[in-house]
Amino acid sequence: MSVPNQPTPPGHFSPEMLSGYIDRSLPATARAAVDTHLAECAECRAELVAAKRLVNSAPSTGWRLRPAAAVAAIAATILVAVLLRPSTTPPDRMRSAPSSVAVARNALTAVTPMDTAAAAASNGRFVWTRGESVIEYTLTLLDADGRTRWSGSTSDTSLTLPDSVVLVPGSTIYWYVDGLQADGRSVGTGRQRLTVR
Amino acid sequence: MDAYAFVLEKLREDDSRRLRTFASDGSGKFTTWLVVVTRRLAYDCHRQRYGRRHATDETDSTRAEREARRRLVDLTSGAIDVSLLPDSAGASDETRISAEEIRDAVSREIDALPAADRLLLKLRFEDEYSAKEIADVTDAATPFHVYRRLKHVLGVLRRRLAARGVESAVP
Repeated sequence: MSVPNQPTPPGHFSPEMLSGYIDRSLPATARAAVDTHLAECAECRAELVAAKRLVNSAPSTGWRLRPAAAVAAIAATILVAVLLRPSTTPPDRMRSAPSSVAVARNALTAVTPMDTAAAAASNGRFVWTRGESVIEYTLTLLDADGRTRWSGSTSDTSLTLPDSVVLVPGSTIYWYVDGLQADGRSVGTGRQRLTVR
Repeated sequence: MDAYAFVLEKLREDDSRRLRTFASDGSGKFTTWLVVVTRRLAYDCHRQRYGRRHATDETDSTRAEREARRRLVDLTSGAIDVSLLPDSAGASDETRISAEEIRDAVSREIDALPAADRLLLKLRFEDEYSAKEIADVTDAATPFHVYRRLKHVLGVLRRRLAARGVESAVP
């Protein structure tokens, strides 16, 4: 019943079978097979009911935040589109751009701009969260092809681009912030993709 | 957030291998599939951090199953409070054997039911889900249909047990 490469507990059915059962889209024979297994397996019955509750709590039927699993499931749903987009992989040189110092990835969190609407509203202001023991932050903007457009440093958690830096509407840029800690280590936001509106 | 990061990391593993294995063959929606996969990954994360639960669960599960069987014996054999049944420890050998025979008969008749009906009984009497929750995960259109189906299945069980000579939960 299980499908390779899926997190399927031994002896239980695959995510495809379970999701098909929840969506009531399995053929009759497959549904009967799932019924048979469910009638004998308390663990799978519990999973079925819990998964159905999560599906019911999805945004289309109103937000109701429940356990951590629900939050993770819904957030992952939103981000999957980004993960699967084939054309968003930046050039190789951009991957090594942030720093030659070992960077603890995503120890800082980018706050704004996070999407096109925010980019239009932020008027070139970039904001991130404060990192522990960070004495200086460096904001770097990259072109879509990986070239550095602009870089500036501050001890604050925001920076506004100078007038000399013009972001062309419709263009794609990447930005990230490195934070230099007092002991010489670095933390960063990771690369953020932004389409300028 | 740790669970969230764990799930994302697992989904991205090997060039998003897990996500790419989803086959859009019409057997289910991607969002539902993702909820199932993500929930399992979230539990993996929890188990990695806190370990699996062991010993007491098995005891609880066994006890729950036994209680469910007793409730079913009660439901199929008339309105008798199972707690009023004679304590098997102090019962005579004959009474104890009769009680075991009744339970065996109920078990056999339950096992002979269609899988969907057995599932219905398990969801209601062993797992103790509400009729609404059962309707949500089964073919039943509404909780009313769940109650109606339960009444039918219990009626079938009563008739079959009566045919075996079991008319009461009391040995």
